[in-house]
Amino acid sequence: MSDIATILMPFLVIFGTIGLCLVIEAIGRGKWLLGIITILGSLLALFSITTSIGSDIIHLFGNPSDITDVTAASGLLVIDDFYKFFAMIFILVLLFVAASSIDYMGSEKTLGVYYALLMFSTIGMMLVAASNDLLTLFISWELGSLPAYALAAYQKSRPETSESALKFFLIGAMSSAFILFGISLIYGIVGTTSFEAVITEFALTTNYTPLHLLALMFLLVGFGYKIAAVPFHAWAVDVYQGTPTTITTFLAAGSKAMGFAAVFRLIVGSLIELDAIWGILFALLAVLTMTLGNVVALVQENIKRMLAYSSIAHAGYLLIALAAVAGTPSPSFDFNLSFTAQEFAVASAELHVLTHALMKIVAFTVVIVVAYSFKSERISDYAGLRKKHPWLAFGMSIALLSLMGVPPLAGFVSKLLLFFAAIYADLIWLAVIGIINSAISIFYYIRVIKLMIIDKPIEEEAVSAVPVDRVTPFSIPLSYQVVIAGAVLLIIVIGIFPTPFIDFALNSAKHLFGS
Amino acid sequence: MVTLFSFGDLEIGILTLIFLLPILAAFPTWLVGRIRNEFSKYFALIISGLVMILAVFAWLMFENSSFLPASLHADRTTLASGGFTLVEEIVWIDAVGMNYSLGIDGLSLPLVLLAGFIFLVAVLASFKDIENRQPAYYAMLMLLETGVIGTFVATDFIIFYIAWELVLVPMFFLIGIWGGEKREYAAIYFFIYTHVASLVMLLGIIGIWLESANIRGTLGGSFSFNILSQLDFGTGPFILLVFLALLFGFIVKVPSVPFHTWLPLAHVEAPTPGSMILAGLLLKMGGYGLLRVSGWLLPEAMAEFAWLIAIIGLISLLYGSWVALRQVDMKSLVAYSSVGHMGIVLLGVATQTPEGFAGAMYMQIAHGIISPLMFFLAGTIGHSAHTRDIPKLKGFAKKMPLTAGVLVFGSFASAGLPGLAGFWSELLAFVALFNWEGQVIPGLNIGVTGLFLAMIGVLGIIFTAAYYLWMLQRTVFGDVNPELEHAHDISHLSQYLTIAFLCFFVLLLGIFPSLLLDLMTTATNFFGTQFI
Repeated sequence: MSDIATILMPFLVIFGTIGLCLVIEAIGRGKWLLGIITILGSLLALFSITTSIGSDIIHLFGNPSDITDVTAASGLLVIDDFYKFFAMIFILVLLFVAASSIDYMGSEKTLGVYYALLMFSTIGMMLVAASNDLLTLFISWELGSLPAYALAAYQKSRPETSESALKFFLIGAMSSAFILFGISLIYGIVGTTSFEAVITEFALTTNYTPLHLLALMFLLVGFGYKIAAVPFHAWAVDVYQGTPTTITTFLAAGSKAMGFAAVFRLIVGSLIELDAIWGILFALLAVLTMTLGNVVALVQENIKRMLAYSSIAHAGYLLIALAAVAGTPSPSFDFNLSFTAQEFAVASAELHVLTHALMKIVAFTVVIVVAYSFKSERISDYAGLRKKHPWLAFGMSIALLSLMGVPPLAGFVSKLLLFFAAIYADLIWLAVIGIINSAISIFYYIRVIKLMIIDKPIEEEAVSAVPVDRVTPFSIPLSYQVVIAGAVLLIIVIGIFPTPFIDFALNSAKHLFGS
Repeated sequence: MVTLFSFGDLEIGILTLIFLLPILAAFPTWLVGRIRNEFSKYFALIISGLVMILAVFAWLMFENSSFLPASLHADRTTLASGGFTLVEEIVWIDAVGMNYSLGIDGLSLPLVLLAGFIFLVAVLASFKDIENRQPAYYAMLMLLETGVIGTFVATDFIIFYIAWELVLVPMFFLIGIWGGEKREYAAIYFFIYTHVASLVMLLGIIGIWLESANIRGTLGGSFSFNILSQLDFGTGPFILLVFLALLFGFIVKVPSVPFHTWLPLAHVEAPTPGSMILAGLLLKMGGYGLLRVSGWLLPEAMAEFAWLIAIIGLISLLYGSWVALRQVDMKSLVAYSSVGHMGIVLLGVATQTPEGFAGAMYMQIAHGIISPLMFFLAGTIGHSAHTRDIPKLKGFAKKMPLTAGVLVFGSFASAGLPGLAGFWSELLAFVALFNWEGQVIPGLNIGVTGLFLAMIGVLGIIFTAAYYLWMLQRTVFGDVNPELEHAHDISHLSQYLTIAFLCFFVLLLGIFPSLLLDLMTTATNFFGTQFI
């Protein structure tokens, strides 16, 4: 039984929720319902995804005469475990961001539009993960990005928001143009837009022209901006700092994951024949990205900037896995494993996208609460956080330790698998650089933990220097508590019982390679 | 398997219970402490006592003691060939061959017993010492206990690494929150230093996995101690590099000169029970790792680097003891004495003989009991006299007679007086060292002989006696320093118990060395056979 409505249930649920939100907005009453409706909608969508995990690959919209045909051999969309894994990530991000927005955005007008934009963007991201056609990919990409530009500019009364939103929009538009140009070149080479056709056509080609290379370069640059790989990273830091923090979470956790989903679908999935070229490029980008991210993060004074650089560094770790996909497995690794080195590399990257999203959700949500409580985003103002909000300090510590890669948290498992992906692909030097980078990263994470838990609050150090209103007690709203507790719990659970997630990721990697 | 406890359908092995009980109790410890502060310490005492009882139970099972029904006896058949007993194994991450597997043998069992004992004592010692934020403190101790015990019972490299890393976080907070003046600096220094070293060790672990994958071919790489100890890794350049990476991770933890700088700082700043655990157990993790890797996993590579280990050990012994002479802070003196004593562990390992192994292990256990005693005394003196500076403690025996008496006892034990625990380890290690034919340092054409090393090493022993005697002479005896008027002797039951427990075992192991030596016979013999 594969009715098209059941297959597209997650999309339909979210569309329905968008409709409800807009209706409530139009009526102008019951605004407090909006956040809860969004949360319920995303929970429902998450549920409908999890129930369908493991079913066969289905191609949609492949039959021009009957759009409800679900038996076509090829189509615009492909509903497989790869899409489901990323959809799970996107909806989780939506869930957490919507929950933390209840209070963060509570005083804004046109809240219905805000939630609708969040969900539109999520649908776009899910479609990117499901797309099986160059044009579908691009349109979904735009659907994922455009609402995000609007969201970044949402609190337009804040001057820094307008600046960063403009920056984000310009860079985003430019990267889209790069991608579109790359896509058009591929279309020029192949003559059709379906991924299957691209794969077969490229497999047949024996000598590559500069045109192939140019197409690849355009795509790499375009995607490179989205995933904030060095040297395309400069926008990310300013944007992360300037945008409203819930949207920063959305960008760092969701939008970046969309970039990786697109890279997997288009470059890894379809341009696999060019792997000799992009493999080296990704390895190079990985080294640059993680090293620069970690080193520059050391000297940051603003917590959002530090987390932005940490996010860049983590994109670097993820690029290790992408380089590993292209690596030739060492002949001595002829194990009786149920997966190939390529599949393992993709799976490890997927898992890390998930854990990174969770860690960043916790970290940025804590930043929101602290920013409310102390009116500051400076790292030095985290001193003595434990005294004011012990649970907040605890959650942040877990997130930072996990980002650092301390076992037995989720970040350790996924990072270890990333390094193993490099080893399976005979890129041991990349794994070594990754571990060295992990060592560098300790310094800036542990500094925050030390400030939060060990140091005394600034108020105790110099009572007179601090205005009294900064010390007003602030009780953390329930929504933030739920977000932080939920994500921390997931971090710990994935860290201790990673097997179901790894299996899911491996299955989805197999589906990506069409087996 | 006969060695399982069953709770309804759930069957749990004794080692899992020992390993996970403390971490599961950490949150409840904190929770009961929220009701009333004192509850947390009694709860922690009960849990650590329970772990101690379980560890003794595991010991009885290991020994096939006649106290137990035959159905609970451990399977000792694989011990002689370097295997483990009371094994538990569950597949954890299949994709890279990681298993949750635990087991013990003659090498790890004494350390598990030591860990159970020292944590019990450390909880007792905390009763008077720790006053603020007790619930969190005792929860941290419980977390720490899981990490330490896990390091000893793990038979899979990843579980070993996880437990090894798990130790860092609670210790960081113990030093950072409940420590002394410069605690923040000391905590962060400790964390970064040891975490970076662990990452180097992780590289080594991945390297050993790679090499095992090369050897095993289609079977794939492995982290399991059991499988790795069956493989012949040889002395290829890659495996030598792997050994060096692992060695670095271990000697930072031990710690050996020149990677010892975190230790005096951490010790001086840590709260007294923290120092006791740090000296009594955390250093032993490094020694354990070294013994396990050199004896069980990479004996050939270790034999190549025996000269390096011996020289590092010798330098640690000499330098640690020499610097201890000049220390003013009593805690700092004991910390440097730890550097010196752990050097003897390295010397024992380097000889590659059963005697050397036995000496190294005996030092691990003896130092694991004596140094907590010394740190407890130093902490108590600091608490009561408001200073730990040796020159200011002149004549404190008149004010604190019992503490002074035990300090004399502990110092003699640490200096290796015959009849006390420290003596046997030094005897065994030096006998082995005298008999070691030595090794030529590759590339330099200089040979180190055991006799030569032992002759110099004895100097270290003399320094050890010297700094302790000099310290005693300046503190215990003479006229009372007037600033010590307010000092008072220990008075709390928990303090008496702490001292009594520790002293009892110092004496017991001093008079009946066979208690410990018999326990690890299988491991000692196996270690010897690895180097023939």
